[in-house]
Amino acid sequence: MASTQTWSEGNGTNAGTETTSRAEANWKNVDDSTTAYSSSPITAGNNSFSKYQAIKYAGTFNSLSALTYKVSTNAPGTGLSVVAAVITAATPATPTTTATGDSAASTTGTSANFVHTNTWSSVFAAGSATGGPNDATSWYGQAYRTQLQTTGSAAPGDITSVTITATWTES
Amino acid sequence: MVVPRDSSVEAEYADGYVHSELELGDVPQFGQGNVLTDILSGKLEKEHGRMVRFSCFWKLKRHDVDWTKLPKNARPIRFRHGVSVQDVVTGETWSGWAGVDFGAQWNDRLGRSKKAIRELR
Repeated sequence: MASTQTWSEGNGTNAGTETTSRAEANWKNVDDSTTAYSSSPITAGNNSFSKYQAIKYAGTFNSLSALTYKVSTNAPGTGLSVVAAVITAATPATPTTTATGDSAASTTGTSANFVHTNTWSSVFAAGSATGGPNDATSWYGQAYRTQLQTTGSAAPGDITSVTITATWTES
Repeated sequence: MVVPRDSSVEAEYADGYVHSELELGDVPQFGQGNVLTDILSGKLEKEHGRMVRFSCFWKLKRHDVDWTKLPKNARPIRFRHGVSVQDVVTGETWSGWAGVDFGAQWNDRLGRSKKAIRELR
């Protein structure tokens, strides 16, 4: 069976409400995981709402280690940039369109720790470099905050495909 | 025919018993973790004798370590390299294994750590 993985998103005040089954994961001009991005587009010169996501492990495993997050590109078009950070502290900023101040998202991998909790708000924590074994309490990766930032030169329309990837080692 | 799932492991013991991740659905028989946790615990050796083979499946092939040729302090190693990808635009997600490192670790007579690892990709 091994581990199974899903992605959770944090919305609302301090990103404290977990959505486990997202209908819409795109960057957009609203803080939720349901509204179609086409209904809440980002206008050139503005930013998306910051988005908090974390990988969540279920299934069976002996140990987890070496977790990283990365994006396929941090410059998906003219006037577009993706910034990101792994959130290590409690009570993160509530999602807004204000620039997060994060650096360009890594395309090679940013290290993250594992957090052992059944409470989503506790995912915003220092965590530990290794996790497991599986038990009745969930294992998450630390939350990964991303934001699509634009300049006035951004072209209208959909952006090209961007992927967010988590990699880890598991025994 | 049961097709071995990539990166799953099994161990065979002196009395012929095979502890198979695939057959057990990776459900551990001795508490938390998985079938590898069972094998690492050494508890199966009390009932079935010394482990004689440790195997890992990858791309429809079984890779074996002859455990009878290793020191008694040898420990099995199986590290899966996991990948989970989400497409931000389409919302599609998929997960899989990029590879698996498989083999054994032991200490020699001078206490030095030794490894024999195969990087299956």
